[in-house]
Amino acid sequence: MSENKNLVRGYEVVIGLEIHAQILSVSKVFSPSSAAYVSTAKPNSQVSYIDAAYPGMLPLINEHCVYQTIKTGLGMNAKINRISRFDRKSYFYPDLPSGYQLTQLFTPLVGEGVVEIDLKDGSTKKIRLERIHLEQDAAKLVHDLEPGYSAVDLNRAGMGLMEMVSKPDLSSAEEVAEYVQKIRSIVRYLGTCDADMSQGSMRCDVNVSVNKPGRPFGTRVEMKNVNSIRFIQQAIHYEVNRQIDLIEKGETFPQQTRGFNSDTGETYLMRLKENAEDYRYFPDPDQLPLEVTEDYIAAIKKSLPELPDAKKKRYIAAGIPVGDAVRLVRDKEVADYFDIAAKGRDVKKVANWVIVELMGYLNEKGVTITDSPIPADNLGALVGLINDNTISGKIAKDVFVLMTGEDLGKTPHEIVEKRGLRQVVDTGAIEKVVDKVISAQKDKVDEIRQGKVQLLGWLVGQCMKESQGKANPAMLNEILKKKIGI
Amino acid sequence: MTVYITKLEPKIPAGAFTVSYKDLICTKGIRTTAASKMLENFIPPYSATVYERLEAKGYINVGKVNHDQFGMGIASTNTHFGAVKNPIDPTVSVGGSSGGSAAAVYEGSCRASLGTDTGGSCRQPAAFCSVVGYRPSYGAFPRYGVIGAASSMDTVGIIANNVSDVCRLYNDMIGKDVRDPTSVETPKAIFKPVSLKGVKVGLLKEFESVDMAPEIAADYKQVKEKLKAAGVTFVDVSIPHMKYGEIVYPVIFASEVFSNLTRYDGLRFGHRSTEGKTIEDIYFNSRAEGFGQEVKHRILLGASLLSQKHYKICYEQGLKVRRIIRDEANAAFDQCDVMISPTVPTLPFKLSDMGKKDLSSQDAFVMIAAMVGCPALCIPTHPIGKFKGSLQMMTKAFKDPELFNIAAAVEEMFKVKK
Repeated sequence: MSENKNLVRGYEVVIGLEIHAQILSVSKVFSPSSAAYVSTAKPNSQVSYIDAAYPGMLPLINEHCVYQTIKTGLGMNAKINRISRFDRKSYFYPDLPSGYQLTQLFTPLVGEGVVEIDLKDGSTKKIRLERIHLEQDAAKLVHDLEPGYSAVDLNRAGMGLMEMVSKPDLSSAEEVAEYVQKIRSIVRYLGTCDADMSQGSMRCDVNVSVNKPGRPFGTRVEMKNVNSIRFIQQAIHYEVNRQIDLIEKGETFPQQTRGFNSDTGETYLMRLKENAEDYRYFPDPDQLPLEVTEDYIAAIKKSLPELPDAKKKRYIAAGIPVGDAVRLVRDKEVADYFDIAAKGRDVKKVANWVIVELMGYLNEKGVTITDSPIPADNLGALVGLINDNTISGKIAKDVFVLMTGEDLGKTPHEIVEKRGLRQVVDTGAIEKVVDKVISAQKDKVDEIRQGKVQLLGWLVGQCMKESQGKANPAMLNEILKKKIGI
Repeated sequence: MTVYITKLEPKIPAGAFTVSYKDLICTKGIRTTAASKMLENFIPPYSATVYERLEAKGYINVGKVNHDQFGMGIASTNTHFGAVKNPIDPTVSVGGSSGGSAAAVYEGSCRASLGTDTGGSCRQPAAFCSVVGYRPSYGAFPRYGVIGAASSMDTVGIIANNVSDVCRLYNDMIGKDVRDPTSVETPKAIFKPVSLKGVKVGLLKEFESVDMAPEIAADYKQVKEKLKAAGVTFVDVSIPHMKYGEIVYPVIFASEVFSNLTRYDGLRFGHRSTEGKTIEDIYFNSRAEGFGQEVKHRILLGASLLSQKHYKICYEQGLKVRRIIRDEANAAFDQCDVMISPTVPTLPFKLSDMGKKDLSSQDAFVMIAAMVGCPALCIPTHPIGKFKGSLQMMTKAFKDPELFNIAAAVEEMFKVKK
């Protein structure tokens, strides 16, 4: 049972996640004001009278936000509810102009679903989704603009959010990281959210409890506003141990909401649940029930692209190792790049080159794969040149570097020809090189013959140098050993 | 007599149709106060759909009239701008909440007035001022730009001198507006008073138990006799669960009002208190200073009704019971062409009785239309002293055109020969 693997000091860890994902759309979910780049636009420049809750203004549902939410639900194998309603969640706070948020407490648009996560050991685990509902985001408060004042930026007020609530199926910080990554992948594949946690277009609330195996769930603690996967893992590690410490001391603790201090790595109390607000939920009388037809849902389903899990399965069936397949499908841009590069080529090798060489280079330079200096088919061609023995793996690495710099834009074939990098596979030519080196290094050769086999590598290196790196390594090795007599 | 909060002196072309507007209806560039200190200086940057439509058709706006603030009241005394007096007799109530509209039409400063009717707010004042009052089918007139009270029951109403004017305004105001999700397309009305012969007039069994003032009862009896003489057939109908409306209506009303008024917090528009430093101070003081007593009572009641403890058995249950009442009402409407009743069980009550006598029966006849979303039109009947009786007529939802034509025929019976 995977649960037992995740015991912390003998305790089971139970985690549920609520993810708020900002919907990619032209307008906000209930108003026609712009939904573009709300986190960076000039303050209060994308606000309608509906967003500002002026007298007599009525929220108007944006069909595209409904579409995006259904699409997301279908991407998570979830049930789409044909009829749903919007509810008012009331509280007073300056980031909520109307004094109520439109959400879907009683009847969500999307019901139960499943998200499969990829674990480090290559296995998968199904995490059940409770629901996805549509709701409004709140405005942004800025506290450091003027001393003694808080400023309100309404650009974000009324932005569409999909709230994805998981069942408490997650058992460790690592599983949570994989789950968040998978959600991120899926919504980015679907184009329903850009899932940029640093900009706040995707935010996670984490609910954590611990219990001894076989015992009921422990007291749940909610952690809010943890805005990176790394911090989420840190927060979970800290919180789990904090709870266990209390339990071991024989202490109890109440349900509560905590924040995470990323500087200290500790969680801190924000409020107790018993002091939580009564939100006075009731169905919004200004909205008609949302009804979607089977045809509407079917059309969206038909339009879905190949999703990460399906793509991953396809890659594994083609022979790519599980870990590589997982890595490739995480971002659609990487998978798309790989598909082009691997067409008609050695998929396993291309996979390795994309993940290790290309992504390594791009990550170092802070460049995304869409801005890769090496186009996909050129990378694929490079791998092709290795496979047909035109160049060695080592020379290929040199060509790679040239393709990002001096020979930017050239095909690998052009570079190999221009610079005369073709591998030498002519036995005679190699034998000549080997003979030359052996005669120059007679004493080293003797030492090797007497048992100092570790010097062989150095000798190979000398032969390589002599051949300007162009000798086929396997052939060189064989010929050298034969000539030495080992 | 504070009929107008903002009186305009427009040029009135010959033959133009003048209209005044209850100050819950937003008029771009013209102060719209909700008769409240909360919005006493609010100048909307947009107009209500109904206003846009009438302006476009050449109706002339003569001003914004006074009313019970935010639509809460039965006497137009809950206003920041001085109570509206009954133009017929200043010692009695003008009715509410659209008292200013009724007074303005009676005194002739406008040919008609747009008010709002959430639970009788156009009809009771119309009855008290001996003029015509009308509440449309819910959804017929878009609510965009109308300051909201109880969303699921708010309508823009019309107070006028005759059914023909109501019909004309109806045609110029209807049409679905995408800016109001609850607005619907409704049929245009062709004004053609019917012959009353053979018209089936529904008499609601549940209205029989309403305690009426003797003059009202006498007037109503006479009306029925006149109708009988004109050849109508009376049909007994029933809405068995109607009595629960007495609880359901105020529950739904207060709950929705609480929520629609949370936006008045002093931050983005409206009254902001100068007292206090923290956000809680601003909220608390702005709302305490800005809202009248009746409004505060209703907000507090609504907050309690919607609390987690009460929600299920109050608001949620209220919605379900309202649905039952509506279904029963529709079944009753299917048995007749029109349902009638007096508009109010009393003549205009003495202002001195307020706070002393139980005035809760004021909405006994008018509430049902609010509960079921059907249209209701009331016309003055016989003189009763300085006042007149008032007959309410209702049809099934979206049969407003039929209602006008029946009401116009009935109206003929009471036309005063000049």
